[in-house]
Amino acid sequence: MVRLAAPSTGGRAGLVALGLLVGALSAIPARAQQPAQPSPFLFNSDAGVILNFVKADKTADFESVLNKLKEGLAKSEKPERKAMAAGWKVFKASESNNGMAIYVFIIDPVAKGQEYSVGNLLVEAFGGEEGNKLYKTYSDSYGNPAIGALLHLSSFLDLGK
Amino acid sequence: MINRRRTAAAILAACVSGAAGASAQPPTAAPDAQRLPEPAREATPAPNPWTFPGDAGLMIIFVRPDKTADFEAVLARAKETLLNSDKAARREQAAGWKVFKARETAAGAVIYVSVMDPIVKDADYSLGSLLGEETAGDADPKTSIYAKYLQSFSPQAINLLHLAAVADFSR
Repeated sequence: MVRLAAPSTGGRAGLVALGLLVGALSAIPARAQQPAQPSPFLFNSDAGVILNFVKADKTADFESVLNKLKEGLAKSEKPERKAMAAGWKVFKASESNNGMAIYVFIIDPVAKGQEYSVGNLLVEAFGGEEGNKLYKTYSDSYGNPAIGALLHLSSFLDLGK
Repeated sequence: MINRRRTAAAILAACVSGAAGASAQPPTAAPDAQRLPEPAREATPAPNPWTFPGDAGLMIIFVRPDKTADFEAVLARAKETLLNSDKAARREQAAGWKVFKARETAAGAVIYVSVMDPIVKDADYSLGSLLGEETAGDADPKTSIYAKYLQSFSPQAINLLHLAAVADFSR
């Protein structure tokens, strides 16, 4: 279960900030129902966040494929792939969700107009046979639901500038 | 390609339909704490969730659509407070702290995402604490900046994630 935010009182009585992990994001299109919609993994804004839910016994598989993805991006000669790699970080949360590990992609900045589809990137980097095999390992590691949030973000405030 | 696209669709559909179930689950921290003898449990302070021992932090903040201006004013005040702080750690916090606004919404709430990367270890990222430092004399429960902060949340309020780095694709 995701750890919920606790009081942020600063000496004052006050907030108990209880929330649930984002999941019911109304703006995420369901592709099968809306074939004309662009890929949700396409980012045209400033940044992106994806929360991935991974089976607890499959985290090694998930991480191994991400390492291959990193390798694939690094060896690509396409400038757009290098731009994608430049802003893409992966974190693991200390919280969990119904027993599933939470991996967070933070993409800042995004390579605008690029599709952050792990499957497509693996196939591009390693060819159909190996790429699809890697993608199967990756997708088999997902829990249910697989993705807790997919957020397309616009910069609002940089507190350091 | 088609299979992958279908998988993506399935993933997202599952995401949309699967979210509600999370609400009934108790926090995972409870079992360990419950095993402690009562005196030990009382003597063990709960860690401050607004500190981040790892590498980064993420807050997903749900704001009432009619309160976004108030919330954004709070963020602006927080930035001003950090940058003008006499404490070096506060200024260091500001350097790695960005706030984004999401295109998506959740049950009508506007979503703001606060990314702290890198974090200042053991620093308190609570906006409430931060505002409290600055506005100690402005404690009016209805009109203070802190009151605006509290009143801007939708029922989901905040999701807080403490993050450890797994991979940086740029390195």
